[in-house]
Order: sequence, then structure tokens, then C-alpha cells
Amino acid sequence: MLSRRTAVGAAVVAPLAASACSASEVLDPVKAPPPSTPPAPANPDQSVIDATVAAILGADEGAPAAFVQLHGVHIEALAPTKGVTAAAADGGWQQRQVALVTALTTAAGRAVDPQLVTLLASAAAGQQQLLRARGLA
Amino acid sequence: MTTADSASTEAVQAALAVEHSAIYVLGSLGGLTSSSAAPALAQALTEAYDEHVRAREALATHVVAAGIEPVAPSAVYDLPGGIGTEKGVGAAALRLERDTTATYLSLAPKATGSDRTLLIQLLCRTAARQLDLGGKPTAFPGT
Repeated sequence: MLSRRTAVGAAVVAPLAASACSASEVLDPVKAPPPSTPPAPANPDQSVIDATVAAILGADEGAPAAFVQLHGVHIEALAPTKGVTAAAADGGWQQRQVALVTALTTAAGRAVDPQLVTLLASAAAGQQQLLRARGLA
Repeated sequence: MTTADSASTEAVQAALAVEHSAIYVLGSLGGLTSSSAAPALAQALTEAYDEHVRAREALATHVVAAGIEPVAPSAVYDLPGGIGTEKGVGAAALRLERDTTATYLSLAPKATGSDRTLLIQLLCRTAARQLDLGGKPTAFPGT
């Protein structure tokens, strides 16, 4: 048998618990997503990003640690599609590194998003700095 | 001329105005530097000056091609402070190149087509010149 104090406490808690369950069923965002939410639009620059990352990966084969570190930062900032692979690259390592400045500049010229233009242009300048530091430009 | 074309040409004109200033300041810094006492700095300043003159010509050519009169230089520009020593001159020149890099980077998205390509090419050159003046490579110069 419940004591008087316990019985009063259960009577107070029960409506609150029932109320909480009701709210949970109505507002659960997983069970009831707003029907008007449109799918995220495709990034119009994704092809530029993926082609640029493929060019970086293609140019990076056999790169010294400084270049690998630099391009790791660049790739992370560009956020390519998962699974992008290295583009086929001609010439020696130095030629590929010099050509990468052109590839980054060209990509910056094609990009639509101003922030991506800034990112790619700055990456080109970073690559040019590293080439100068190694006496390649 | 479309609005986009106009904005693009304005970006090139803004870069041209920056080059006018850079040429004036670098010329002044070069005049304060002894080629016998500080040959490396004197050479770096001379090369930077020459490259900025070439940049100015390239930018002016783009503006003229758009059928617009290139922005004219001012008669005089403010010189940076702290340029009484060789070290101060070198630091001022490096600051100028860093500022120019940041300016080019801010202007590039406003330009289109060959204007944008030119601005990025000049951005790369000014970023590389930072190393001649004691700067270090960074992943994203100008940011």
C-alpha cells in the first residue's frame, strides 16, 4: 500500500510524464521532417574542386615533405568529393610542380563562388612561394 | 559594357592604383639603401621595383583594352615609418609586398576572364617576392 506522501507524489509526476511523451511524439524531427525542406543544391564548383585536387595529387608523386604538407592543407581546405584520384601527369616532378601553379590559376579563373576563387588563387600563390623557396621559379 | 565587365575593370583599376603606390614607395626605399653597404637588399628592392613597373604596364594595357583611361598616379604617397635603418627599409618593403598580396587576393574574385587571370598571376609574383625580402612561405598567402 502506498503511503499518503508517495501517492501524492505519483499523482503529480504522472501527468508530467504523459505530457512529455506526447510532446516527444509530435516534435521528433527524425520521425516528422518538415515536408517543405528542399534537398541541398549541388555545388556548381564541385567539378572544379575535384579536378584541382586530382591535379594536385598527380603533381605530388615523389614530392618533398614540404610540398606534401602544403598540398595536404590545400586539399583539406578544398573539400573534394570522396574518392578523387590522381590525374595522369606528364614530365618530371619539377615540371609538374610548376604546371600546378597554372592549374590552380586556371581553376581560380573558372570558379563561380568568390570564396573558392580566393582559396584557389591563394593556393596558387602558396605554391609559387614554395617554388621560389626551392629555386624553381 | 555589362555590370560584370565594369566590376572587373574596376578591380584592375584598383590594382593599378596599388601598383602606382608600390612603385613610388619602392623607389623611395631604394633611394635610402646603399648598394655597397647592403647589396642584397638593394638588389631585392631593384628587382621588386622593376617587377612592379612591369605589373603596372600589364594592368594599364588591360584597362586600355577595355576602352577606359587608366587611373593616374598621385603626385605623392605617404612613406612607411621606421625606415631610418637598413632593417627598417627591408621590413617596410616586406610589409608592402604582403599588403599588395592581400590586395590582389581581395580583388581577384571581383574580376572575370583574363582580368582575373592577370590579377592571380600578379598575386603569385608578389607573394614569391616576399621571400626575397625575408618572408617565409605560407599555405595561403594574402589571407
